[in-house]
Amino acid sequence: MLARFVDFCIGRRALVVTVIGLLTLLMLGAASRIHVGTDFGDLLPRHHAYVEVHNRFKATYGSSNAVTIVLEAEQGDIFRTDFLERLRTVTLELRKVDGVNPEQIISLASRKIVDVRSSSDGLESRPLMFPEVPSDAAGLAELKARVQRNGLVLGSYVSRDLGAALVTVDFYDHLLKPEEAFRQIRAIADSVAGPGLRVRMVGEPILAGWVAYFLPETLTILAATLAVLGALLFLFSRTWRGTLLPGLAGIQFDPLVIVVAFLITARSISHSVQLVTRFDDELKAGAATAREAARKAMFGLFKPGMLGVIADAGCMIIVILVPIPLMQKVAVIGTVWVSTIALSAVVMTPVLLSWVRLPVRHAHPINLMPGLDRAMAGLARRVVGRNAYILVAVAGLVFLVSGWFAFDIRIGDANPGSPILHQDSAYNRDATEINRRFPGTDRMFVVLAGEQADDIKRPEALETMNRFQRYMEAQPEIGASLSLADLIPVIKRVMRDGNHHYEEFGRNQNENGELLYLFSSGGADPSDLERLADRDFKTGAVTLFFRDHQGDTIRTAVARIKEFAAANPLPGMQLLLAGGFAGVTAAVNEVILASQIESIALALLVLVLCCAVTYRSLNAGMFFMVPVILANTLTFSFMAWKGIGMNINTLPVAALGIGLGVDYAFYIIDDIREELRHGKSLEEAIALALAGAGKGVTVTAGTLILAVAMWGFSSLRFQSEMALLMAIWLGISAFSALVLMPAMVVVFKPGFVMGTARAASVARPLQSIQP
Amino acid sequence: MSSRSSFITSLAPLCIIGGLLYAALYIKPAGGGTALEPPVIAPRDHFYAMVQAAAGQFWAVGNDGKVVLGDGRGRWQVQASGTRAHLQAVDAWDARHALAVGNEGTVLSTSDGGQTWLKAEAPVSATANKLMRVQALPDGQAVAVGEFNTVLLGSAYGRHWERLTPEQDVAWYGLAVRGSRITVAGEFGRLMQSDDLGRSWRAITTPTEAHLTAVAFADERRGVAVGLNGTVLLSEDGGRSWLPVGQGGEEHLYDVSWDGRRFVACGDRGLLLESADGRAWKALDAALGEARNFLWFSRVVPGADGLLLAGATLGVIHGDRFVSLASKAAGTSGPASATAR
Repeated sequence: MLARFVDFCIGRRALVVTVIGLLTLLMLGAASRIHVGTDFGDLLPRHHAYVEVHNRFKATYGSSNAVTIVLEAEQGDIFRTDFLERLRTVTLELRKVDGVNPEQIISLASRKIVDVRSSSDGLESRPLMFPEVPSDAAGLAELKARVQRNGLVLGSYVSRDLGAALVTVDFYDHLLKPEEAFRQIRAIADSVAGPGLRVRMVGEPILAGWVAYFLPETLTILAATLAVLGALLFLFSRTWRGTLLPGLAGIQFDPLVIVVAFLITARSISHSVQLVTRFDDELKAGAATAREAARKAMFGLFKPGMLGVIADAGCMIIVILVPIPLMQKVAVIGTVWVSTIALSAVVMTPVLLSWVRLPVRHAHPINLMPGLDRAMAGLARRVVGRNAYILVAVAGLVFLVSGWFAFDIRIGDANPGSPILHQDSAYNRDATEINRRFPGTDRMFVVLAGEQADDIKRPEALETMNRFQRYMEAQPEIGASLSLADLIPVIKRVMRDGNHHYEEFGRNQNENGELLYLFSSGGADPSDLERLADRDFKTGAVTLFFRDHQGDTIRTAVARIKEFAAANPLPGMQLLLAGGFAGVTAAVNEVILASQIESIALALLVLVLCCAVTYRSLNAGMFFMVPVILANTLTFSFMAWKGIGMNINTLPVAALGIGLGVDYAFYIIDDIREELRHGKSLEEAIALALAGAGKGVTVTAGTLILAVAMWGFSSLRFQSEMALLMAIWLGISAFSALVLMPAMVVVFKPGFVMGTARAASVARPLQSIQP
Repeated sequence: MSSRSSFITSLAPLCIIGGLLYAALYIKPAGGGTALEPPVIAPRDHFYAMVQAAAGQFWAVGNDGKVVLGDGRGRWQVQASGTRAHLQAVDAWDARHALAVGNEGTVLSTSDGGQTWLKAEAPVSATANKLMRVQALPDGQAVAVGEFNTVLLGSAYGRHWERLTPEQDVAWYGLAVRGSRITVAGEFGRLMQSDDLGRSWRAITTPTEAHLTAVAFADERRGVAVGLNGTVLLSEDGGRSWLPVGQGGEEHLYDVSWDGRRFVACGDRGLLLESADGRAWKALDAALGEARNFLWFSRVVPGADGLLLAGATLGVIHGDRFVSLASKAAGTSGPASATAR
């Protein structure tokens, strides 16, 4: 049946090529409508409790996309008219940025930063520096004095050394286009930066903007990678067709998704190289025509090829279980893409090869094949006999040790700053500097929710907030916190002539209500209280300012929040975790580890099922699990060692990479098995398999590893790290396939390879796979 | 390969997968480091008062019931006060006996150097009951004053208290006891005196309507009272009559003390004043430098080797040099600490 299918493909090759060509065009059209990334909701775990709290309150208590801009005076303090004018310019211009929530632009120059003073009829809330900047020395000195005495401004919006001013700006999630926002904010920053004034900025949209900024470089490296890939294939195969055919893969231009694209391309190349190698071998072995050789190659490799593709696709579709929409999209795209390899590589490559004109002429004189053949022959001699047992034992040891270290992998970001960019990148330098001067730019809000209006005016609610803040601030990475419990004592003090002995809560709910009423009626906009409490004071937010968003920092904070909530129950009220950037990061980190382990488990299950069906043996499943598990534990150990955290960016690579390289083992083991069935001894079979499929594996892995090395030059640390990971992963897979798998066959002599009576009775196991 | 080992190796993959699934369900990244010790002196702490009890033994009290014991060199340890009320004042009889008072009529005393602080029942008003000052007297006696015309006489090192004055709507902020003469000063320029340890009182008129926050005497005759808006009053007849004295500023003054050779006063914006005669005042705050702009001090009292300052931070003035006693740098007050008036 398979033979008929192969004959059909080769026989009606024009038709097949046309159909596949049309399909490709169709897919291309469909692919152009797929949209990946930029929708921030896609990055968050669906239905996670934190994310639900975040979505409920983000409009007022702060989204995860806040941008912090800091204007620094290079000398002296900021209280100079020209400096303050530029601060005012930035504050006003930010209103024009697309997607900005104008109510959430806060700086010394905004109307929201008020000075509360007592007046003849109660309180007066007067903006500190709005609408006009003081122009004379007296006005500047007065402003400086007021800033120094205002604890809600000093330290938060003006640095304690008075040398820098901070602007925060928030966005409507659904209107935000990060790259556009980055471009516009940068233009504003450039317009005010100059001698004596320096602008720094951080925040997720800024980060996204930087990533997009490096897109041209990314494309250059991608081109270089493809060039290297081509050059290497050309060098190895010495023919143009061997170079061009494996390149039949799609390309996607999101800098973060490009790594995923490469993962899939790697698989595509692997399958094609195997077919081309086999085609050459068939010609050498005496196939009369290209058609005959192509037919034999396709027939021989169809089973391990399809097994590889199906196992890979199965491993990828598992990722759909990760409750993060972005991952689900990536999983679907990856699965579809990998499935197309079944057509593009396993069918299309031999069909195209059948057109090759004989005799083959080499396109260049450098021939690496004899060397490679000798290496493979040497390898074949060394993986049998006593060495096999040593190899298996060493592999077992490596597995145990790396399995142990794999659990050291850090969930979330492992270093301060953004892991996407290099530590000394402009963005990370800005982040470090801002977090040194100010209490922290990564915010998390925790909501104290009551059951009815005015609940958070209750003294015990405010007292709980205050104690909560003291408790949380004990963590060194939390630079400060802010809540209604900070504001009310200040209002009371002002009401009591500014006497510090009266900086305290009102005695009861009513007095607290009166104080807040006085604050609002004194000229403050009702919305000014919105970042602290909702309009009917049923819920209030405590905002925590983090100096970094490392996984450990956020996990410790979340554990402490839960600890506090458990130890301090408040009847009728509850603490809800957690919103803002740090809040949703906590949610993502919580699902990542479990999802990844689950993905590995289910991917292994898929693998075992595929093998069991193909070879009618659960042992086969066990056998092929070995290289996959080994590659996973070693890569995880490497990530733990190098401090590469498992986060929303590395997760796609780790998840989609689970099945990477397992096809190497399929090709080699299948080759050994076929040779044994032709009556060869085990040693001969291994030697022949390594000389055939093994050579293809070596060429593929070597080519890909050298090609991904190009990404070491990327300005995006994420890309260079992921490239390194993939190189390691491919290296381990190739090593397992070339050395460990044959050694394991020697040691364990598994029935499905050796062809025991039971296996032999199943006449043509490969027919169990329907094309 | 025997059928038994084949059976085992067949089950192995399922076991591994099952194990991983189990791990996925139950392994959670460790929270780590939940047993964080809060800093002894936190950014949110304000200290309303400090006292030296013995050589190398200092108590400071402040907001949210904070009590710390220090060695005078910046090393402090937190003591459990058992209250969350702001503590406004502290005084000590000796290294073991001390007492602190504060909001919500809180009176705490210790007789073991602060290992345990016990809450005493004091006859305070239910309406308004913040206690602002306390002074330890010989023989384990003490006087405390506060809101709603509260003057309390304590005995047995602060365990027992009696009320010396009826409840009325007047808040007392300042207190000076010399022998059996008690002088208390309060809101709207009010002042009263007793010569018999509080059994009888006479009201004294002063030339100000400003709230008076503190009063101190150099001897039987010469005394100074200070208050909000830079108010300074001088008496040279033991407190029977008071004259306004200009000191050149309008910042709030929160405290005044006699250190044996001069009056010293402190207040908002790092304001520190000294005067040998209570009449001519000069600034002492050059020592604070730029930091004075966001520091405030609610207490200045003489210590064995310098003036002790409590407020936005803790410190001591040696000669004309300010030394911070808080582990945080001078001038780093909490988010809601500085004043906007």
